[in-house]
Amino acid sequence: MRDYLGMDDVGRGLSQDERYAGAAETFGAPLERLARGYEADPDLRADLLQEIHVALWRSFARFDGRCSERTWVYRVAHNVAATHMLRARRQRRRGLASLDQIALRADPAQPSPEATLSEREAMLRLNALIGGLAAPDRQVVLLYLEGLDAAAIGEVSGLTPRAVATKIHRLKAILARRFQQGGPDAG
Amino acid sequence: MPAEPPTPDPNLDPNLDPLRLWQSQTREPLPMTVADIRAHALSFEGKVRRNVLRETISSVLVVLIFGWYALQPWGWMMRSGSVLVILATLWVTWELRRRAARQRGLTDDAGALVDAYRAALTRSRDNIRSMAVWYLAPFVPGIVLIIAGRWLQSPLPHVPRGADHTIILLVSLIVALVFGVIWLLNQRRGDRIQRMIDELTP
Repeated sequence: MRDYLGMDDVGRGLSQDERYAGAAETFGAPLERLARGYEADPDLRADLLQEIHVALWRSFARFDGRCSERTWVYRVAHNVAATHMLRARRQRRRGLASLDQIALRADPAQPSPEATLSEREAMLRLNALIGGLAAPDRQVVLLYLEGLDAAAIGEVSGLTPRAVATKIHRLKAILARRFQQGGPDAG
Repeated sequence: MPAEPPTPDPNLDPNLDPLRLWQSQTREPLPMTVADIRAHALSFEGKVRRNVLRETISSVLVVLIFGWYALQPWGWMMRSGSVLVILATLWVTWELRRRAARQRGLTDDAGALVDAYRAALTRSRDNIRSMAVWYLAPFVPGIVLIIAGRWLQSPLPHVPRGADHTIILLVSLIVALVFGVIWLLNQRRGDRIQRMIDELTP
């Protein structure tokens, strides 16, 4: 069996419904987190998640197994989410930045009075970081947080593994600064 | 090729490992079955079909109105102009359908994000920037012929010539303004899309 369902399922001739149901079962949780990474508003997030699932169901009519199912699912989902983000951005006129630009900025969060960050505070900081990123870098960060390696992220995003590795390196530096014990700018 | 595995950073508090934090979020599952999803997808396709139907009905109305004009006992210029407007309507309707069929939405794409995103935006930009050629220009000969025919061959009865010419000039000005505003708005949309494309270019 190839990565998750992949080529073998094409060979087995699964129906569009069966293939979608399998992918929704396997990737349900990552897709929920992906929607969370692109939309902070709970109602709009539910709409986005629904839109992703509908696009996924439609896409499986064309799935030919030339890439793994995981790559396919993430590509469709991120493309839907990026479109959603583009529409929302046009409405809100929010300034988004790349990882390089964020790395040069001071952390906007106030230093914690406690010695260590609480999980809740850390999660808020992580969401704030993701929410400030432009689409291509946001995709890399979300895929990294799902545990994909640079090669897999490159396959989904179309970036070279070298470019992905550079972005991950930059991200780790930002995370280290923001998540280290003793407040965001310690160390 | 570097293939850096996403291991937790040793500088981080292990309890605050971002990967663990991110993946341990409480779930917000989608309360929809496969049948619900299929129904939603089909209703979306129905919406697309309704849009095409609306465009077709608009085109049929234009063809009927200018077809009636073309059959009236006016001068040859106005009748020929009406026929040219009908031909332009048919051409633009066909062109709209052809471009819509060619323009796969980004949400239908399973290509890599950056490529799919850039390709979809580029197609939109090109369609919008070239609309003066394929959407506006086909109507110009017919409209010019109709206006010239009104001026030269078909003046309004019982209206002084000066007043009639003023009416024709005013109508011509309004038509030119409508064309100009449509063109200008689309050029601005094209510029906005170009800025989005520029943002994607490293």
